[in-house]
Amino acid sequence: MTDKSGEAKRSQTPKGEVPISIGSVDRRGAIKLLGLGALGAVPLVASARVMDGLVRDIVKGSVAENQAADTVPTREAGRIRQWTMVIDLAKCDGCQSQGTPPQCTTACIEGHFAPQPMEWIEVYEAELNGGGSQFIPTPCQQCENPPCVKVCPVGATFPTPEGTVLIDQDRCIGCRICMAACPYDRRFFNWGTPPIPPEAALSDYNPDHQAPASSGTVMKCDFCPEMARDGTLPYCIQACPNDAVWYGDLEEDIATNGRTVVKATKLVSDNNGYRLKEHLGTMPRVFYLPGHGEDIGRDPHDEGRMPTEWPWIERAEGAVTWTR
Amino acid sequence: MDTLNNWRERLISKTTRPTLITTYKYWLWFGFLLVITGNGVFQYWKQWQHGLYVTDMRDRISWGLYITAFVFFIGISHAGTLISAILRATKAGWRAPVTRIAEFITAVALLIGASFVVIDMGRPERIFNVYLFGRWQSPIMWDVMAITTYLTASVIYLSAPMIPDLALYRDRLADKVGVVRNFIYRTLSVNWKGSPKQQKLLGKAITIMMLVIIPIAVSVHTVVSWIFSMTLRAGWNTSIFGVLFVAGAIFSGVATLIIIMAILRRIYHWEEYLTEKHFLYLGYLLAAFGAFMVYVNLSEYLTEGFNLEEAGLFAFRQLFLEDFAAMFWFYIIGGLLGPVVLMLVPKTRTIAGVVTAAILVVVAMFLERYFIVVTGLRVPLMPYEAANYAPTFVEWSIFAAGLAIFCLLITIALKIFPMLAIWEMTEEHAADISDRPTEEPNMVGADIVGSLTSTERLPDAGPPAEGGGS
Amino acid sequence: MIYRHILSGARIAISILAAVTILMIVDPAVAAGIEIAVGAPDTVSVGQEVEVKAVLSQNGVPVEGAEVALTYQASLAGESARVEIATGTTDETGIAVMIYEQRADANGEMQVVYLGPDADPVEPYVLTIAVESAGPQLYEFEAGVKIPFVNGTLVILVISGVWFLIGLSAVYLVRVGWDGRGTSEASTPEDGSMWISTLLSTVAVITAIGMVIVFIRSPVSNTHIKDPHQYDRTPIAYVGVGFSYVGFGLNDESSAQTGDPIADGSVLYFKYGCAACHGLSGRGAVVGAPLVDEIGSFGGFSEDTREGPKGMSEYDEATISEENLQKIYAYLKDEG
Repeated sequence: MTDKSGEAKRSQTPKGEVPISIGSVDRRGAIKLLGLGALGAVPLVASARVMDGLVRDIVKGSVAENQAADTVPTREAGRIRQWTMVIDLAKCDGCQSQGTPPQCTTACIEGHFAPQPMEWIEVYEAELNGGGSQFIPTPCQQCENPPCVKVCPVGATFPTPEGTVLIDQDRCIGCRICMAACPYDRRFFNWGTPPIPPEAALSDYNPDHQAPASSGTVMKCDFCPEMARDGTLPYCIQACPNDAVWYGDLEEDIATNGRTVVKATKLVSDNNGYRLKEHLGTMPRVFYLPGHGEDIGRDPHDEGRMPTEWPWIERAEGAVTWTR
Repeated sequence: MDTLNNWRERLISKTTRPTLITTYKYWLWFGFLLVITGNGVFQYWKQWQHGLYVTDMRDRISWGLYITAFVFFIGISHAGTLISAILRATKAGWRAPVTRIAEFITAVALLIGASFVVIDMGRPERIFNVYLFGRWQSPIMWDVMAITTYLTASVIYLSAPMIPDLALYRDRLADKVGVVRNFIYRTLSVNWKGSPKQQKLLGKAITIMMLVIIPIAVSVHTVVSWIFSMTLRAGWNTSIFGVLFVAGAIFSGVATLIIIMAILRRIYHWEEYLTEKHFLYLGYLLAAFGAFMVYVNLSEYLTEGFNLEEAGLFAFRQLFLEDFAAMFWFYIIGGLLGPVVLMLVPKTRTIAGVVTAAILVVVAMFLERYFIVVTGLRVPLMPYEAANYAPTFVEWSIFAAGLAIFCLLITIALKIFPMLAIWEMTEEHAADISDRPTEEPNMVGADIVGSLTSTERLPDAGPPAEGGGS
Repeated sequence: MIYRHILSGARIAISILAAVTILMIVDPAVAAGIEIAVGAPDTVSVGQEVEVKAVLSQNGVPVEGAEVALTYQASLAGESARVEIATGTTDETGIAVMIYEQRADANGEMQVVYLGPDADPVEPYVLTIAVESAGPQLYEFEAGVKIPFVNGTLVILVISGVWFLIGLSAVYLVRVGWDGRGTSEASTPEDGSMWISTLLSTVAVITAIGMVIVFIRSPVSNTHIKDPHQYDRTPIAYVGVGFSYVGFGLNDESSAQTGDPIADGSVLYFKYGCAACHGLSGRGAVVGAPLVDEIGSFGGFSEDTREGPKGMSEYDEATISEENLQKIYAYLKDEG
């Protein structure tokens, strides 16, 4: 509501994409070939599906155009990365030993300009059954069966082919049913003019990084896809002083914590990895290795962590903050 | 037939009374509603400027009074159409004086309820994204579709049986009302002459809508409940929600209908038509639904209570013992058992008793909607302290404005439309006074409609007796 | 648990083939130390289950009970390291069988590494297994249960049916008006007042069509992985394919063309995402080191930017031109 001017300049086309070659067949041709092949080969029963697709293409018109554009590689370009995260709780002490707020959260806030009070990766302190506590850094769980995507009326929150769930704040109507649906409390709403640094408003909006935040829309951890595609790791992983967070790809089956690279599935099974609220059938892409920071010498009865801070809060003009 | 004619003339004069006579009290009431509406509009303007920050909703309790109001008003909307359609389909003769009011409540409450969803949105200016990018898999879209369907169907179902009455108004009141109302009567009475063919066509239209609207109405409140039960939250994610919401909707709808009937009866002296019988029958309906609601609640909480996982335990505590206990027990004892008791005890089986029960029910059902929305969201999902929610002045103002606009629209409708179904009531009266029970399958009673509207060309009765003498 | 979702191809047949092609190389020249020899297929395809046999011997005698691992050179998000993909223990003939599924697009230099029990270092055996590129997607997932005929089409039919009846009712109302037309009497001033019911039925038809369009336009399922070309909101990451990290990007490129290098630099500093790690004023943040006071010479600055020290992503000339880099440098110098 309040940042309409900025919004007008935003474009739906993501920046920074580089054409990817897919071999000798030109993509337009490939699509045509595929389309014809599908039409010729499908048995009669499947023709309804094809019709469905054709009608959809007609209605969507512009999307069909986009598909033909070179910027969007088709499946034939290769195998799609399937991002995952493995969080080793045995190495997480909520940054008690550092004497700082959890560095993953802090780095995420600085890197994403996450408005106060959003902690896209939030370090919860949970009680252990025998007393004492463990710290659970909780990013968006990037469910494979995402309850939030299922309920979104406008497709503003959407799954990517990489298995992550993103939010298109240019489309979000702010109905907040996704927040009601998320069983992990990982969605955040801009209740007022979001407190972000003035520089962030210069940013060209993209669902990949969600900056700048806009009032009346939902935000959450995005798994830093624009960073991960190449070059660098998500902020939380780069910042973790204990290398407790692993970022991986289930397609190639590897994971890295910024120090080393391992086989992702092996890491999970060797360490009894589990997922949060598995019984809900959401199939999260975030795995946890059990523990309470014992690998770095944390006593489970040593409770409490430093509160999270938002460094630019004085510079966010005209913005309001709120509590969760 | 002479008695029937006299009876009918009296009915017409009584029905046109609100249309023709406007007292200072009316304008006082009208102004009062306008003030409340104005305040609500002003507060909404504030919300538009500052975002939902002005409410007390936050990430953890992300829905509040607005969604409560949405559910509440959609619930009220089941007063009318569903009841009137069921009664019409079962040919319950006593329905005639009740239906028109009920149908108006439906249309108005639906409009208000639907707009509360928009009020609750973070980006209301993007409402058309729902049509541009809609996903039918989303419960919100189910609501959009169901409510659109219900609203369209309700408007048709309201206007179709009103056509003969509007034709009557067109013929009788042409020189007694202004240009606008004349235009409305002329337009909405779609050239009604009461010819046999027109009667047949109208009968078909009404019959179709009557049958279609029952499943639509049931589906509407079911999908409203599915907004909640399609999430993975303790207390929400249950299969009984559809039943609970539909039963609750009819329950609160009947109660609202009783209250509005009582008010109109008092103001416009419609005692002859809205008799004790009507109130008692609706009261019995209320008691029956109250008992059913008790059963549904018992079934729900007992089943859930045998599987008390952590979140369920929290939900139970806050509902039965802690923060929301007062609301919950008022709802169960006052709102559900109260009407049953009031209707069981012969002494309170009066209009006053029924109206008391109805007021209890409306309040209790509002509270029920409130605690369903808030307690469901309040249960912590992760290890954090449960949040709290108390609606702000802005939220209360907008909610009050919703109520005010609801009353306002009915108040305005009183000035324009016949609130009693003249031809249906006449038909029923005719059936009553003749020994021969009606065997005709035609539910419209086409011959009477025809005979009473234009073929007879009754002489204008002059201005209806001022004050009615009663 | 994850393997549950993985579609195994026709990998078993090929793995038998691989097992046959063992090369037994025993070099008696080395007297001490453990010798590793490996038999493996030359070429495999993605998704294939590959069997690699390692033969361990010491002075020509097979080594029993030794643990070996197979590693390949993997890189992800700027990190590169050897990944252990299979392990095995030698039997009494000195042969360890290691089976792995080919997941990487390219293996690079693979190694069979001796893990124990001897503490003495053993020279790893280096082998090359070529990978046929562009295999099928191996990790796929699907949400929900699909029941034939219980789908959107059914819902469209139901809704269409309801709206047909509503429309029919409205049409009857139009016909009521149509029938009363022309037989005008004194009290019915004009004909054609059935426009309202016409409007109603038109609205009904338009709304019904609108709903069907909403249905048709809805995405088919929760996930686009089976149909990624339907997906167009962000670029897609592929195994083995990458592109340069360019930061957030400013919405107006021309704002960095003022001519004042310091002003331009402050914009570019943001544009290339420097601010995200190094802090908004260049004074450092959790991830990135402070730049302002420790920037040093342009040469060092340029080198660090191009090569990306300590996990920082690399910004080549195609991403940040030399001219722009100098502007950023000027800005940071000025801040200091």
